[in-house]
Amino acid sequence: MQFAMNLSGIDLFIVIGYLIAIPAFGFYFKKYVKTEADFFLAGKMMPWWVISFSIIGTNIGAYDYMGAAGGAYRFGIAQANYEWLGAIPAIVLSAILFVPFYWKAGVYTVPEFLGKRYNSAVRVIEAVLWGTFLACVLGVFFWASGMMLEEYVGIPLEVALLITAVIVGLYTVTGGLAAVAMTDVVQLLIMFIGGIALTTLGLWQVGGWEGLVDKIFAVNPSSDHFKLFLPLDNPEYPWLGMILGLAIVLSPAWWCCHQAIIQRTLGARSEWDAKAGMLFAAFPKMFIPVLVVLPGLLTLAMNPHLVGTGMEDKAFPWLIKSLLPAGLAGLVFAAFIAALISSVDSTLNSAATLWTVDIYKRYFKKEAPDKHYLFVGRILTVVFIVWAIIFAPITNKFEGIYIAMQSLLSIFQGPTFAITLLGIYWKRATQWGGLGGLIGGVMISGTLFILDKTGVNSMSFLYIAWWSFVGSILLNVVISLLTKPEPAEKLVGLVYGFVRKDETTQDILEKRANGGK
Amino acid sequence: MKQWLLELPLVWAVIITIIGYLGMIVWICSRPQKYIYAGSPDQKKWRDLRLWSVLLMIIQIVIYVMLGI
Repeated sequence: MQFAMNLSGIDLFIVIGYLIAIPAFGFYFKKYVKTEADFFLAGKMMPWWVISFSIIGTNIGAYDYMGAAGGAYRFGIAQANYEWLGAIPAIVLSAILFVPFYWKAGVYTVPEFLGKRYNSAVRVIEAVLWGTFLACVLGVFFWASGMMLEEYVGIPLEVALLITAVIVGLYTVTGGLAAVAMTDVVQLLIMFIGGIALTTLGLWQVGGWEGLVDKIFAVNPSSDHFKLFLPLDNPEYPWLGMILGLAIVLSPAWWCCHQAIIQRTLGARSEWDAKAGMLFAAFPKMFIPVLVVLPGLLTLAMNPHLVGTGMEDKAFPWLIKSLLPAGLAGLVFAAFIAALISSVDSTLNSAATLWTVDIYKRYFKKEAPDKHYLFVGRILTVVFIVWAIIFAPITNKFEGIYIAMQSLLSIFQGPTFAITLLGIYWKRATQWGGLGGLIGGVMISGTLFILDKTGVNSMSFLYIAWWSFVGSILLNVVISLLTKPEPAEKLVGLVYGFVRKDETTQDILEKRANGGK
Repeated sequence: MKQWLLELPLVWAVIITIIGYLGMIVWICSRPQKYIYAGSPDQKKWRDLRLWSVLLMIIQIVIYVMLGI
């Protein structure tokens, strides 16, 4: 089945105009970048609303449009759990419990925080895991971008990859986090305008919500498409796995520990802006199912024949192609590209931050002038762009790479969340408890993952995440109780209950968060 | 999987979810005012992040009651 969208002249005008305007807008922020903190943390000047929009722009990628619409096409509104139960409580938890500690610690990265709370071994393991993950994901994002431009606009793949690199590279290399965050704001607005236009037209076409329900039940009267929770024997979305694995482990791990998400709050102008920025992100997040889940259901109602390997993931492009008139198709397609680019730029900036701060600065050149790290950050951003261009075609040769990357993420997410949670909430957690919890947790999830892949003991990745989290917590607690407690002065500002004791301590923490100024 | 778990009606998933949301409301409301407003230029009511959080949780509860049961 061919899905080339045959964009009309006006559509192409909108898409090309968008592709020129975004880097131009991002490039404007170059003039604000003078130091390392300006580049990696936007000079710690970001207000809460920019942080919110940038977080959601980073979170929603083109894969979400394709994958979530495809998931809704197959399983129905249960897919929305990833945006509601699998996000909102975790965002609240992150904003109220985690973000204030990261911000007050004055760190650039989550591994840096864990290094302060536990030890440098924990920091290095986390930095290498996240750094590798982000670098590999960049290749996948570039490939998806190139494919999309080739398939829907008709640009040759190699040229499409270069266009992506130039567009994203121009403002990410020069403007750093400020440029990334501000372009994310614009891109999120485009995503919402495009997405709402698509779903409104779709609902009108099928006769509103009731028409949508009637049409889907007409195809399959025993359909589960309007059930938020699916039975335990469902292979992908069992309800207990959604609650234990997604809501309690994977989602908080993503929202509380993911570098690309947290980095935005570290650039906040105040602790309150950091918290409010994260919290307010939950409001647009709640509407994401309207943009990505509803299109899947609309496509099912209009075309129930997209069945077969990967065909469901064509639900979103099919809807754009079939439903939208000239002009609107360009706008929605621009929204689609916006989702991709806003994820690419954030990943790029976060990968450069991790490798500069946690690896280069820690192990290669400790005491260099500020400008030197700014230079290294920019060079590494270019290196990652080149790497992504080279790595992108490889992701196509080995289909399992993206899945392998996702599996790698789910293997260390549970233990990462476990040690971060205990590190912030339990003063008795020691450096050895943290290290043991991290390594032990990764070993547990790795073992369960291998058992699942070899068919010895099949287990959903949601349950693997849950058990690795539980195992990591237990190991951290047991080892911590068997080892010497950390001195109180090491814990100030890093652990709940060790912050608001007196005003002097608070002043020190505020100064630390603002780089000692 | 234990048979009793498999036979549990799906409405229990919604009930557990709503209990979780209610628990979060209690937890958020118990955060000290000073902690919530830390770093804020003033103490205006709209800056009280507990209110934002409670609003979010209530919207979630309504969604899960309407679509889940």
